[in-house]
Amino acid sequence: MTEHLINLKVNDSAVTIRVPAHRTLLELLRDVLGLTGTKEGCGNGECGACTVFLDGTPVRACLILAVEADGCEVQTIEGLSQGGLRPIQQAYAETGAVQCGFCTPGFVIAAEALLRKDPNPNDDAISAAFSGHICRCTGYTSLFEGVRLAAKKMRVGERE
Amino acid sequence: MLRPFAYHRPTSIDELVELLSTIKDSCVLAGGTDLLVKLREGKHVPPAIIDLKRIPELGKLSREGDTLVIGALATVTELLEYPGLADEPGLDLLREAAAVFGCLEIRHRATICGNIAHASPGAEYGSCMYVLEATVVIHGPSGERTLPVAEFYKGPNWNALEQGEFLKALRVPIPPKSARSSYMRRSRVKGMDLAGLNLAMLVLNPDDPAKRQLRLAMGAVHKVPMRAPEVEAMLSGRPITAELMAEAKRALSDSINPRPSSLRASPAYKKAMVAHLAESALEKLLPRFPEEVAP
Repeated sequence: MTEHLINLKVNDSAVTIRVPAHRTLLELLRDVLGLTGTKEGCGNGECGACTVFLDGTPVRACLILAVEADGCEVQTIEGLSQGGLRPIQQAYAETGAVQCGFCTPGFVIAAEALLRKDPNPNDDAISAAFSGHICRCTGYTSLFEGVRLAAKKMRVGERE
Repeated sequence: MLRPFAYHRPTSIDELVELLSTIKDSCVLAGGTDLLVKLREGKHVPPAIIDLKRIPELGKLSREGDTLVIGALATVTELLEYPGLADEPGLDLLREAAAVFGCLEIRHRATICGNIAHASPGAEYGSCMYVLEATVVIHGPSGERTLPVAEFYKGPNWNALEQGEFLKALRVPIPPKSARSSYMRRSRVKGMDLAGLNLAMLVLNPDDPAKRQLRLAMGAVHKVPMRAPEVEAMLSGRPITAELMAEAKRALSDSINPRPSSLRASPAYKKAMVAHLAESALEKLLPRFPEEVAP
């Protein structure tokens, strides 16, 4: 086993910490830094619950070693709402896209990433963005509605 | 929790080769989307993980004349977005495979070279590289060597790399602009799943039956991806009539002998579906299909 001193930015705060090589980014976020908004579902990259932004790109925190994030910027669900709820979070609340809530942080990051690239996504684009995210409660309809509503909110926000 | 291992992050190829040669059974890490799953299973934990991502020489994607060079660090997303790729119909299959590869977050990390090095029988890029007749560039203590991709695959999760070697790049010959290609697969669900069966097809001179050359490869039907030379010969150099296609479909089904223990599809399903996928690919790639013989 080796330990490594890493420097990274987590939700805009600089973090310098020693990590064992075999610690995942997900374990660092949840168990060491206490950022428990990011969830562990399957731990194999299949369910999407652990999705975070790494240098602005959505990735699976369970499939990345903490040491690999050395020098990177990580944004978790906690960081996303630092300046208040994002339009997608507000929209999910309004469309009832949150039931048990376990998958929600992953779906928020996935939708946020989609809306940053495509401000007016059609259903195929939403479906592609959600292809690696599993929700066992909602049946997905309200999650799709949420993205459409957030896109509308963001367009209105731009006009104002 | 993963079981402990050491981690190294070389910054040059020389340093990487030194590490790979001295630490027996160490394992290279690029995207990690296959490796971390394997580490989590905990069956074979390597003594050391050697991260390739800080070696600038390894590179991403580049074009050298009529060759697309896919460096060890090129991700699936980067391939999908590579400028000019959409103007090469002979490489459409690479983009079609990218579109169904894992999911968005996996594609952002997973590398094409990793997909090949992992040597999974149903890997999206296995069949693609077989029909494109790509070359694998291997780097080791005594320098570089190259192998045709079909010789790189040895068996399920087993490749031709020797102690101290790593997969440095894939060299993909870019087919002429007139070529057409397609990648198709069947999986249990439309979203994130591994292919239960896949098929890649490349057709050179698609519009001229006499000069036409057809290549096809299948994944998840055998221990390694597989070409179908007899069926390729049947479907090359002559009009593909309905009768010929029926014969070719039977021959293709007969050419595979999938193991019954597959988790994702039965042998009977694979035999029927591989013929169907070949027909669908031809429908898509040929201007008229089936063709008529000129009277």
